[in-house]
Amino acid sequence: MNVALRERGVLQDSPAQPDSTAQPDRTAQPDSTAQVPAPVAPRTGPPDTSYYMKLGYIVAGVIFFAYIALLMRRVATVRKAP
Amino acid sequence: MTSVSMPETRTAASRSLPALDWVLLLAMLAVGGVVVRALMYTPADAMLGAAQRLFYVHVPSAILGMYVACSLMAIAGGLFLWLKDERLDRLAESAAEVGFIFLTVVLVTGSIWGRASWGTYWAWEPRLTSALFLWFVVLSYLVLRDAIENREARARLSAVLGVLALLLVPFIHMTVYLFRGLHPEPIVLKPSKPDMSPEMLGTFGLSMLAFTLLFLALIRLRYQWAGVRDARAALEQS
Repeated sequence: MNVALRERGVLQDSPAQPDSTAQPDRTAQPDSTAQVPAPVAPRTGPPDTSYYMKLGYIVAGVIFFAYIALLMRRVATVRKAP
Repeated sequence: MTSVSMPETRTAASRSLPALDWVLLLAMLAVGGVVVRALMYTPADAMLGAAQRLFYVHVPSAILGMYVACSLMAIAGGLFLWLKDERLDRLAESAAEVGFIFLTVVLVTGSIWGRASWGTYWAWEPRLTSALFLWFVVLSYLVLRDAIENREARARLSAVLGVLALLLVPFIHMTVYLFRGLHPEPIVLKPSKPDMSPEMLGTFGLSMLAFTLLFLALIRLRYQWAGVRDARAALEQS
């Protein structure tokens, strides 16, 4: 697509600009890390959010069970009464 | 009523409450089965991952706690103001209490889901804030009932508050359309078809059935208990 745009003159290479960040005082050093591949995490699908799923189900279960226990206690109190 | 002695009436009222409520037991088993299906046999969302499975608790709880319970509370309360039937007041009270539990589950599961998808447990955005406001209104309904001794005044004032609470529900439903916020638009409660895969839709349908059964079982038991409580209170006063 870029080639087609270049042929039509829509996309043009920018002329070379002087590097404003160049520092002539410093001697160029070889990049010692060039041999090591960049630490990019592999893309393996959706994020691991199972912790939040478990937390949500546990908290919802606790709320429902606590209310059911409260109701059962109320019923038992009424039934035990003379 | 006058021909029955006090201990006999008290025993008869207590007997109407079962030691083991089979409807509630069935509902709990149904919810347990749906949870197993949701966690083990339903695919995770491609974007949100496993946290999307909170949908099967969050959305049924929202539909039942916000739309059904608040409607029941308001309709029963409104009918009480007209007919003055104590059974309607007990039904409104039961719907409010069970609805409060479901609304609490909605807020908590929504908050945890929000942490997984938005990176924060809470945001003061329109849907969340208005849902929290409804939670406080229902809480105030329950606190009001405990605070008033006179039964007639308690039933009348709480019925008015219950009717007013229902007015919030359409506003909460429309917040995602009216304001720009974090909460997504409805996936299920909308005119067009739900945006879900068949497996997810099947699990959602079953979870809706199971939580509806749990909701009805809790309302039924709470209503029966309130009936016995009121009968005992009336006997003690007489």
